[in-house]
Amino acid sequence: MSASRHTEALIIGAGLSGAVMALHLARAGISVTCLEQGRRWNREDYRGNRDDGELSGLGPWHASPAVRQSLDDYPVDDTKAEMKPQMFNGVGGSTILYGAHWMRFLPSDFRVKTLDGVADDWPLTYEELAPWYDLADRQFGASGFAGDPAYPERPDYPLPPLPIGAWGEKVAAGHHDLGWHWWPGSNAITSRPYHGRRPCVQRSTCYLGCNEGAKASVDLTHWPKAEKLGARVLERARASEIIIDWNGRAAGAVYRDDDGREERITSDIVIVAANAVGTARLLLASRSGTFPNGLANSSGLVGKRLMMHPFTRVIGFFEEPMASWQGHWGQSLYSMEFAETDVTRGFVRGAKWNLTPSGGPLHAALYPWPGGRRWGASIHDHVRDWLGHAAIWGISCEDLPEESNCVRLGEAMGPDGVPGAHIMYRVSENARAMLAFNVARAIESFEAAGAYRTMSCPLSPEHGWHLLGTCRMGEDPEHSVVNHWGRSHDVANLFIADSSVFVTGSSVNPSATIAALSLRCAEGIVVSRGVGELC
Amino acid sequence: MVLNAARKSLLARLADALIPAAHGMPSAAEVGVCDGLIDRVLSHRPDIAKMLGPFLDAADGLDADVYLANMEMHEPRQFELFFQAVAGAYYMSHEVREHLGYSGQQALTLPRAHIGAEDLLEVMASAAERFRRVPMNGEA
Repeated sequence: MSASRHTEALIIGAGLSGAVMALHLARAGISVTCLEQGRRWNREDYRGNRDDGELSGLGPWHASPAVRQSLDDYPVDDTKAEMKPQMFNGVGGSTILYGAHWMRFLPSDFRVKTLDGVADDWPLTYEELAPWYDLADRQFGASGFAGDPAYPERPDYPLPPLPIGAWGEKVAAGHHDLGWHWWPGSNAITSRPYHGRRPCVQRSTCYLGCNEGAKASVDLTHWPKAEKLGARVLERARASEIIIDWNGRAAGAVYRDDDGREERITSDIVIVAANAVGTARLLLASRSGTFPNGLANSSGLVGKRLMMHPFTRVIGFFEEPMASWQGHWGQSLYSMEFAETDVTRGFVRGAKWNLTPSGGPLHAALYPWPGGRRWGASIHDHVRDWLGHAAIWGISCEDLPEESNCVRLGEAMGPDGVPGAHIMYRVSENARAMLAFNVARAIESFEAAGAYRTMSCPLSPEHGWHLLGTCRMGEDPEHSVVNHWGRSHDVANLFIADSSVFVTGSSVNPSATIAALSLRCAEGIVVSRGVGELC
Repeated sequence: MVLNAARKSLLARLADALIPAAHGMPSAAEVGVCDGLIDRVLSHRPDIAKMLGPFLDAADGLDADVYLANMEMHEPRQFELFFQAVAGAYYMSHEVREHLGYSGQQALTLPRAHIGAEDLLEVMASAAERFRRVPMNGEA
């Protein structure tokens, strides 16, 4: 091991939250070093603008580490999980592959216990987070349209919305007839030139990485600026343990570099930003005499209350050719019609719907078509019916936190010498009822839009994109891991910045909320430094 | 991985069972799946390159339809990889894409003038609010 280095703020994970924190801290003159287990990619590496895009997206560019089998990943055992976690490790983290749907929580999402008598309330409100949402919108170049009646008033988006597509126009008309909510999609995808980024070209390959740089991934939006201010990212640096000094304070981390050598870096504060699976894994692996159950885990909650937004899709088929293999993916439009609780439906909480294009011919051929073989002569019918004629409602359901849904240390070791992650996750009866209800309504939606046929399934287990809740925030140290600033109750200079801290999950995509919380956490650190201590 | 003549022959039989000529579309072998296209698949998918040889060898002497149906039932992961390989190769074919009227995922210029359904958007924008307000004192 070489001589250790020192930094003021050590961030573990170069994804969305790590990048947002790094830029904010660097702007305040705080020295930042980030350990990122993956590599840095170039836009030319992404396969979306090549003929093999769809094929590569099912293998080395798949969003599931269990499918991708990359050396940049650690083992994830999801065999006992009814939703399979998706994530990406590298500079940019999951923003490299995410769809960039940009949604705020609803005000009621912060008061689930008060309003619906289940789960817990957050220790902060929508109003307290709103200014940070506004700042995150500008940093990410969010495109959208203010004035949605499903949300409180808010400032204009930095950019106008992207086109909703021919399928979006049909669904908008259908919802108008039904009296249901719809709104143009809000996305962290540029619709105009913005801070050096070009506008979206509607290639519909957002999920493979954006060749244009129109989709906001933090390797483009944040890290270059942070690095100009002196922040450093150590790529292929796998953190294996957070160091605790004799005072019980976080003192840095041990990591393995690209050559497998063990190194140490010391720091004044440590910020863990490795997503709800990676963060829990690292904390659980950082055991010591002081923290025999894992670092910052006196509550016993690290790793528990994993939420994943049980997800499914309804496909609508239209006679009219719409070229719906194109279009940002990304959401064309969204509906919050069934997002708020209505107990007459037989479940609590709700679902957010996003309308998207439907991919190319390989997507069409491989879909689990009901009623007969997917292959043989019928493959041509499937592809003809789907290609350019289909649109997809994605239904994202809020699941409630349960301690039995959790991340534990797995049996297989990672290349960093740390056990991989073992995911235990069951979809609750409440969520199953919610899925069934929303699938039935989405079918109604497509029928009102003029679809001649729909296809659906009860659950899409492979779409576990949103990993939430494994280090929940709260004011009571016995029942939470961090406070409302993201500071650990157990270790005063340890912070968690990612969606691990979520108390409840809402039904909406978490990226905007992760960004807002991270900005707020970073500002808290900056302010406390101003009064003489770096937390 | 390089497919020898025997494996190419097996691949052609299985690929044509998977994607036969029908409904005006050519078969997989007809568009060259077994030649350059499968090589492109294997270059992008090392997981497929690893399983393809044994998958083909096990089909030797068997009816293609029966073999594929059995694999789909009893070795679904292997079948799915093979399906991805053949269909992935097939839909990369320019000939197939011409038949489908599909030019691949293209870069388009964004329309600036409108986003769609602006008249309906005006109606939605003037609708009553649809979210629950949270009481300030925390009571339900």
